[in-house]
Amino acid sequence: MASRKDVQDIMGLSGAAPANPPPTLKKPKTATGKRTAGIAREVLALHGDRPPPVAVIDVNKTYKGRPSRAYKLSNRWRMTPFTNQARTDGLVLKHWAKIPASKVLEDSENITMEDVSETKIEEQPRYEWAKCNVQVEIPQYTDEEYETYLRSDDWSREETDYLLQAIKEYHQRWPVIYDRYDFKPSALVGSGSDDMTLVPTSPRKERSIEDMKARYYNIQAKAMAIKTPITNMNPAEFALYENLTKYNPVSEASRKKLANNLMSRSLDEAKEEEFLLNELQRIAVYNHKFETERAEIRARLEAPSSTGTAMQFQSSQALHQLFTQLFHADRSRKRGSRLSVQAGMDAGMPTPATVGQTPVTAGSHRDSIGGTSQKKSGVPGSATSQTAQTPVRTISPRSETRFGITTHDRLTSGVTFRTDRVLKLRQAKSAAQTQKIATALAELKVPDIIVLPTTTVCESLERLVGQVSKLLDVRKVREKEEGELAVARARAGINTDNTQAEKSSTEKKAEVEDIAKGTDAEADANSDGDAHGDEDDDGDVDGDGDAGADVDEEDEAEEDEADGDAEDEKPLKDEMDGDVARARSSSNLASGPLPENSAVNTARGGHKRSASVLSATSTKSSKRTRK
Amino acid sequence: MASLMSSLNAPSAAEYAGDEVSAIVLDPGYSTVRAGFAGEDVPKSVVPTYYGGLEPPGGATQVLYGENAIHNPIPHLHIKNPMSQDGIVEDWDAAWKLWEYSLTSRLLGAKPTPAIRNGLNDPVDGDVMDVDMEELDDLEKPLVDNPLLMTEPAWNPVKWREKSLEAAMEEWGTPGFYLQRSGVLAAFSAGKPTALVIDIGASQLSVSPVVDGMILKKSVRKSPLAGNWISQQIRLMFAQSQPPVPLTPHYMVTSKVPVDAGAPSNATYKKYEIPPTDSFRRLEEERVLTEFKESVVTTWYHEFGRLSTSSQGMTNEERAKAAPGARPFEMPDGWNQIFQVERFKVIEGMFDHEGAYTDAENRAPKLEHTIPNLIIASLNSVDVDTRPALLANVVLVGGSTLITHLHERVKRELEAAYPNVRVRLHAPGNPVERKFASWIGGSILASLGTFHQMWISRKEYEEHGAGLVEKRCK
Repeated sequence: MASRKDVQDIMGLSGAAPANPPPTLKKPKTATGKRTAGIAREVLALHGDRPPPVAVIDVNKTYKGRPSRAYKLSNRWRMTPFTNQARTDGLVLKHWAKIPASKVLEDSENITMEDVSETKIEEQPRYEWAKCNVQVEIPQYTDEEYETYLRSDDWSREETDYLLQAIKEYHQRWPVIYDRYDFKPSALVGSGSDDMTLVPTSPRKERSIEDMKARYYNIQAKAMAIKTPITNMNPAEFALYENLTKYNPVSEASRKKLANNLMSRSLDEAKEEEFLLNELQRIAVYNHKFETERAEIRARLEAPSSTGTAMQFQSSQALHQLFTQLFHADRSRKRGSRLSVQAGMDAGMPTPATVGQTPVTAGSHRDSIGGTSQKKSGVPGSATSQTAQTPVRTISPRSETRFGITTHDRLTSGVTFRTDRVLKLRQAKSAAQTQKIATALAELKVPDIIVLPTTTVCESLERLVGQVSKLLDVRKVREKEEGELAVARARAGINTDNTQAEKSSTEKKAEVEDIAKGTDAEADANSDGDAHGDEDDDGDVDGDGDAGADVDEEDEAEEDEADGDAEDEKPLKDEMDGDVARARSSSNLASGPLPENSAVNTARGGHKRSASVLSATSTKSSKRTRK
Repeated sequence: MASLMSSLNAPSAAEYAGDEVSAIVLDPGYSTVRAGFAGEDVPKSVVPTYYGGLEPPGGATQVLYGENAIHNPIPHLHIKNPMSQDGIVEDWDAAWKLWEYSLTSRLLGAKPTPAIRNGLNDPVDGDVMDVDMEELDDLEKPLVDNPLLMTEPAWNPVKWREKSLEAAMEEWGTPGFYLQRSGVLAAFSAGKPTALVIDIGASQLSVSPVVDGMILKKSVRKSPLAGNWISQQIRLMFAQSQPPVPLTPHYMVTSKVPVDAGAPSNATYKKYEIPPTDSFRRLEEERVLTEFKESVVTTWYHEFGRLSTSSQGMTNEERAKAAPGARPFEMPDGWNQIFQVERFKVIEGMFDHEGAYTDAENRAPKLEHTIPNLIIASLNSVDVDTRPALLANVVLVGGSTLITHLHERVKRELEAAYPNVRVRLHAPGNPVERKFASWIGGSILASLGTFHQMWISRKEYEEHGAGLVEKRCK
């Protein structure tokens, strides 16, 4: 066979340096990188470069040779003497210990006949288990410390020492301490056997665990306090100190008594208790079920009733209306209702946004945004909407105010500023009215710009403005009626009998007007107040002459009420804006001695009566006019 | 990878905190003396506490120890026991010799004579070498190399405790000594530091509350209703049955032929020129009774309450008569009978004082000696906070607890007494662990590295005297 070299010779080429050595064929590396055993090369080649579809397990079938024996020295064990550092007497015991291989070799070179027991207790490492020798710390005290702090009538010094020793000895295991506690006063021990008369210095007492604990904890607490004054204790120390001082042997003893009773119940009693507990649970479950069922029934009853016949829903618009009604009622009841929004969409019904605008809604949304949920509108169905909107966690009204939680029946979309609202409040329908309100507010020293219009401030202002406008209305009516009265008087001539009464009534009116002008307080224009006033009518009509006195009395009553309220409304008071408060305080009249902050309360609830007085007087005068 | 627990690979030292110093654990009881090396799982040397005194008239007396020696029907062999019925030592010297036998016969072996004494090194010219012979004597004592842990009943008097320390130090020459209550050790053998240990041995039934490895001495209660009492009950039952059951020990029978149940035996008896002593006969009878206890006696543990109570118009005794599982028993001479209700009744007195067999000499046991009452009395004297912990760790040990279903009955009685507390009864399934529980506990304790600071060393003993045992072994 001719090799490349032969060919080169024939061709006359120098074999030293072939110009272009043929590129060496590089074997394509398999993806796995190493040759897989256990599979034929040809079969493997069929896959090409890609890894085999099935993981090929490399089974090493090679014959395992004999285990190679590494020649090394094994560890030797030797009976070694040792001492235990936890002992004080240096007792030497022997145990088997491992001797490192290096040492064995060393030892085997100088073989001696020496007895193993005579080997030195060589530089011993610390005995492994000596660290487990833990002692409890008991409080230490000197004689004078004992005399000053720890003296007890019940415990002698000797017995205290004995107790502390026992605690140390038995590692604070109270059952054991109690079991082994056997204090014999030395006076008894010493003289008892010889003299017939026992010295009754400190008679032996049966100590209960509680007694011992109380004594020990007391000592420990005092020792702690002596060591570190209470003010310098760190939290852990103080917690311990507190625990120690809190120990009450009497309650502890009664607790144990109770535990004992509980333990020694008979089987019947235990069974009865179990039975009763089961019964209680059953009742609770039943109650819960009953309540939910009831709530469901109630909800169902409040659904719109079908009073008319089906005939009225013949038109598509009537149907639409019915659906809207049902849909809204359902939606306000709970989420995940039967009539879903999806259903509404499918039926081509208005979206919830439009539903809100339809006149037939389950709840009335007359309350303003600032209005709290407590305001009840007398429209049926508001109860449902309220229950639906009650947050899961019920919060008391007081804490609601404290945390500033308000519940709204409806929220308008978008952002509004309370300053806007405050400004808007000052606007009335007519310019004259606006002017009058502004004058009244200026008189009350309410500034034009309220610096911090909080919810409460807004509410108060809203009420105030409402009251002012109401009063303005009242004044208008009065002026009108006075005019009419003057006309009527001029026409009919003056009746002498009536003069006196009229005079007093005018005085009264003037007074009332003063009140109305001077205070926001008097001007409660609540709907409740109105109703109240109407009721009062009948009673007040007869006693014309007494009316003035009535007013005074009522003022006093209001003061009291306001005082009472002031206690309750502290958090509210705090929120009051300074300006408004100032405005209120300036308006001191009949209720002069009222504390500043209670002005709010006066505005809130205290002055229904005065409003009623107002309305009463006005009606009186109108009646007289009619006469 | 967690290695499996096996006897082939030792646990790591950190795991069991062990450090073996070839200490010896000695657990003397009324029936047997258990001795062995600490760290082993069973005592190597179990020797009966009964020993033989060979007292031929006019001859030298000889004392025989060990199982092989005392069951030999030779004349003038008196069987004795150094323990009293209370389970404490009565005859100190005999007991100490017996215990020494239990140590030397199997465990320690013969010591080589020291080189100075073996005669090989005797000086040729007869000069007496100046050797401290006293020290040599010390070296010849059996326990010079081994610390000794001894067990004791909780009611061991101070006198014996001090004597144990003294003798161990002086006579056995041990470098370290410790005395521990067997109740605590039984709790340790169950792996519990807090336990209510019910130990039913041969002579005493004891209930000892153990809290954190300390026995509550004031709350320990004991009663004689134990193995020996059950034997006595069986004897009474044999005597009172119609016709009386003959109790013939093995050594009297040469051969026997099968007979019908209840029929008189047909056996040839051995003739002895000088018959063995009564005490020997009693010991041999006791062996038959033990066999009877093991194979026939069982506890009434069914849910209908005690054997004497009746429910559904039927007393439990009638129920027991009808219950399946009557056991036949054959005496060594071939007499045999089927025992039905008797096998429940002989043990019933341990639980129900009215259910026991009685005669003129053997009064009914006292109510407060029955197991349930003992336990209740013991627990009532313990602080109420500790009671649930104790009831959750009731440990039942002792050879007599091996009677069938006894642990079930104890559990049932406890549950009836404390229906509101969780009762958990720990009774080792392995008979060896039940019989030798306190030894095993001692073996565990004495092989702990942390225990080695507890030994009363020779130096301490020499300094403080025997009174030290009261202070140290609490």
